[in-house]
Amino acid sequence: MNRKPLIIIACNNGIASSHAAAARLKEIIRKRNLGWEVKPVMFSSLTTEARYADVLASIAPFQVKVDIPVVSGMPFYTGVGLEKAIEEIQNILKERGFNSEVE
Amino acid sequence: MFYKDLIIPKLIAEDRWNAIEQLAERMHKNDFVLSNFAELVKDREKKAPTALDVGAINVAIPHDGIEACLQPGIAIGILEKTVPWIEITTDDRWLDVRVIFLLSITEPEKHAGTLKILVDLIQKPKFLDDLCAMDSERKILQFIGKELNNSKNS
Repeated sequence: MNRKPLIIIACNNGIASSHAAAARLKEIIRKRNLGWEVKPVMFSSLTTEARYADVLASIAPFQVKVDIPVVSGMPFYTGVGLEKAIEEIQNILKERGFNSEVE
Repeated sequence: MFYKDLIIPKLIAEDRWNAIEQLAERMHKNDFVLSNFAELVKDREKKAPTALDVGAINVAIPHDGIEACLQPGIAIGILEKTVPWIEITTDDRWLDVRVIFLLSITEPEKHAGTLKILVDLIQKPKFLDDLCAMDSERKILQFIGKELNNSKNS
């Protein structure tokens, strides 16, 4: 696939936790040259945002149905279990046809 | 984002709602938030709780939308006696919370870094012990400032 994979991070209002989690994930992406894009989103726009994303990392339970794989966003908020969470996303992206090699 | 006037070292609150109200009132008095801030934060807390299980001393980081926030700031409450608070991502797991950081956020992108560092700090073994042993606004402000700087430079 030519485009970069997009990870959306959702929390209840998309104000604080999702941005803090996105900041942590962006740091890792930069350090490891993963080439992913990250966008913090709020639950109210989740359905629309998910259409253009590859993985949803959520910091709270949500009610709407999304068609992309969902992982916990907590490791990116707290930093606990970070390696496992990155690996999980890497596996999902591989399954979705993204090349795991860094360009 | 930390201010002496937004720190309450010996907060006495009967429950989490009352703790939020007192901190929000302090923020309102100092022109950081509108008067409806406490209500918004409590509503949001009912939908998405914010307590974090970080060890012997637990922390809550309540916040809400930009509509009631006038300028960025973080109020700190150190409770004399812990209050029960629901853990983030759960709806039934209660934690005893001792330290509260109430956030007024006006530019999420810009303030994300500070919040991330704060979440890292509260997981450092000695940080909360040291913080809870402090009894003056000035000491707490200096301590937080020093810790934040160390984290930014590391």
